Amino acid sequence: MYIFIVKRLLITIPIFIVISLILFTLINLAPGGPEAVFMGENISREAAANIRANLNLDKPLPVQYYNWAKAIIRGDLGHSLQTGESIWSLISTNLVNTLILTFSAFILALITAIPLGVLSALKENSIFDRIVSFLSFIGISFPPFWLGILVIMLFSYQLRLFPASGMSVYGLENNILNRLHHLILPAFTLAVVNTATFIRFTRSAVLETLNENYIKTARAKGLNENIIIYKHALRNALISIITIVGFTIPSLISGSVVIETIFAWPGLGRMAVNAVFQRDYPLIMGINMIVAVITVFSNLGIDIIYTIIDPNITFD
Amino acid sequence: MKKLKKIILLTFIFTISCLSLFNTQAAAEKYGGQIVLASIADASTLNPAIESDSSSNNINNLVFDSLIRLDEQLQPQASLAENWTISDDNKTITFKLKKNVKFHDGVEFTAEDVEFTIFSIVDYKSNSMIKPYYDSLLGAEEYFNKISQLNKLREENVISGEEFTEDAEKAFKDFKNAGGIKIIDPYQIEFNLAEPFAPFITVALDLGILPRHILEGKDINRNQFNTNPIGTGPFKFIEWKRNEHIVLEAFEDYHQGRPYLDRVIYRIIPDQAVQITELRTGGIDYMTQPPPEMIAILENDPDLNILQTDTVSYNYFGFKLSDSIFEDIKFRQALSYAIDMESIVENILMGYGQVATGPFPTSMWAYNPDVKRYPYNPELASKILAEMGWQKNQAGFLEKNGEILSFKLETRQGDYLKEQMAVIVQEQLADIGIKVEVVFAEWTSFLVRLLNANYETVILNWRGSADPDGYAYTVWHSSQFDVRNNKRYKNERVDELLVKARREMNLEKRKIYYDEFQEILAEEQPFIFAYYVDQVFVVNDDYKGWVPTPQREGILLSLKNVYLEN
Repeated sequence: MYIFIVKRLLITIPIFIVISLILFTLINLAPGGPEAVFMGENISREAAANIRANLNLDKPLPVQYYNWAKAIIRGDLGHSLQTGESIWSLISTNLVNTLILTFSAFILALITAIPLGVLSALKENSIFDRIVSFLSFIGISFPPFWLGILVIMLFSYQLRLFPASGMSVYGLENNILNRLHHLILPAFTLAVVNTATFIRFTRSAVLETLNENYIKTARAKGLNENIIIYKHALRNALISIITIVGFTIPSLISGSVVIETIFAWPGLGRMAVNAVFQRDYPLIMGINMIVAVITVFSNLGIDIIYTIIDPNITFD
Repeated sequence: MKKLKKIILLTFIFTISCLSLFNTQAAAEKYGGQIVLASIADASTLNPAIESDSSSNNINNLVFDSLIRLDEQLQPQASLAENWTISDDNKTITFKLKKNVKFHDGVEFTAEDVEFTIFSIVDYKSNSMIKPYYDSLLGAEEYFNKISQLNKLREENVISGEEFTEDAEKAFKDFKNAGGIKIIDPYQIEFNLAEPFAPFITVALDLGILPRHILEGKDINRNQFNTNPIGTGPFKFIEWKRNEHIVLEAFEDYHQGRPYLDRVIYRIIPDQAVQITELRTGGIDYMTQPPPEMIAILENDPDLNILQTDTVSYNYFGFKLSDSIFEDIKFRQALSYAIDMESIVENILMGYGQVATGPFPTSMWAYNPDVKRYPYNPELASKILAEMGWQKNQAGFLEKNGEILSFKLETRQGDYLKEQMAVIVQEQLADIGIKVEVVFAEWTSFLVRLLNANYETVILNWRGSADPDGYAYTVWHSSQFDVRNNKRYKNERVDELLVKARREMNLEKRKIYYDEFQEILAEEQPFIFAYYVDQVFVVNDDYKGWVPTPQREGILLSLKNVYLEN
């Protein structure tokens, strides 16, 4: 197992190099640079050249990439072109904010979706199944920005139960109740889409396993139905559920731009989009590299989990 | 009799003292509380010398103070200055500074801080956007020319980076020694101009003063100071959580007296619909520019107060004048007749604006209302175009020599009002047979195309500094092709008027030059001046003391006098 993990880790190095090269090229191909953002409509050719020189953007691209990569190896992500702040500190605070939101939503989605999905599969075509299917279709079809606004209109404006935006009230940052109060609406909105998707996948995964021959065999030999479902069917269905859940993990880190924007949540998604519009090259690189690292490692983690759940899967 | 007098006197004294006691009590009651402001975007730097966005400007105006501030008529009023005098030849301006003004760290403000701030801006190493404001200082033009020359040489690899730095440092030193800025004593500073320059005080000296004792010898582009500023303004900086909020607190030793409010929280809420919900549920107390169609609803809320004022910006439908079809004045006039601006103001702005007539907003003293106007008249527009040889083809489009009359119209993506206007312009021009392709362009790449004059027509807005010069010389003088005159407008009479206007110190005489300039532009229609959007602020009705000014969010300058009424 350790050899497998080391091998996988070694493979990631060329992957990161290729990712960073592609990113770096793409970013620099986009028309307009940070100097345009600085100057706005007051843009002038001379000032633009001056600012590019001040930001070290006048060097040839390979030199810029080399300098960036050299710093990265030392663990230095550089400084934001727009604000001059350390990118590591910008990313780390915003990443924590994003994780608070996305993990709450993720857990909320899992604990609602898996039981509902399993139950609808077991009671296939019953009224319960139809209602769950109907609701999950609605959940998938709701554009999150619209759902967000609806939720704010209802729970913040009409019922005045929850604050419409922000992470906490100033001065109450350490008050867990205040934080929870602010977390509920965005986490719920973000969870809706994932819940719907997870329900659909859980349901079909369980249905598929229930039709497998080994389940029929188990039933034929008169095994207790509970044991069939919980020990044989569910455990096998989990593999495909984990695959789909694994796919959503990178999105937990990169965050949801739409939800973060509507609920004024100071997360990484919003920061990434702003960085793109502001052509803040090192910040874009930094955020994307962090997301790439986490994606690669979460995939590795998922592979390890497979072997624990299913002894048939080995490290070869 | 004597006794009576005594009684009267005593009663009088008693009443006065009671009244004053009452007054101080009333004043004391004004102190305290906090206000939550909302902004769509976060600030990018809390250093006024290198700021370039309006959120940064909003905060910097509260944390930093300036020699002068502009009043509601956009006239300069002393702030950190006691007063100023202008020499007879109009080339020397001497400022007397207030004494005992403290920075937030307790160090005293002096003339050295003023000099330091301006030198930091014009320093070729700084990313400051406002360097051109100082090009009238003695020696500045030579210095700027030298730097741009050196920049060119370095780009062409004629000189190395080290050679550039060496020569640029020398040029900068020469400028510092040229006598453009002279400190007479700690409370007196003199500005010497190469030639009289009327906008100097308004434009160059409305500027947050940096603390020399903290920043001297340091890189101002990238400095901890920029996220942790110290100024002389009414509010001192407390914390900045990016994309979340900026918190300020009252500065007890502010030289004009402590502000009433204890704390200001500037919250970043990107979605305006959410801002409105927060405003109506008490989460925030202030927002700007709500969507016009929402204003009527907000007006009906008894807990809210709508404040409205003029603006210092105008929106326009502009052309690249060097393109053959836009060269012809008649063609541009026809377009002006073909667009119903009245209905755009009525239906898009919901009346919160005015039809524009020229390059100066109505709030400026230079504004001239008596110029040629182009009321909506599509028949006349069609007639003019027909006279020019454009004939309708079978598809209903105008055609000349086998070519259809069509062009591309670009505007800033995400700017809701301009996007709507672009679509209406497209429809109205289609009515007279002109084919317009509308593009909503991503801003940063759009800016670069503007700079390179790589466009056909645009809908944009212009906001200069508070002096008419920023709307006139920099935008319309033919020497500015590589800068802000990217539409390539050239008219010799206009060039002459604009130079005269910036050299003349007398407002009335300046206005005569600007009046003629506006008449020429109205006749020639190098832009179709579209509309001025009113500034609208929605505030919680418990807060009193606001003074809206035409400057963008200039209302926040009055925050030091805003108080919470119980």
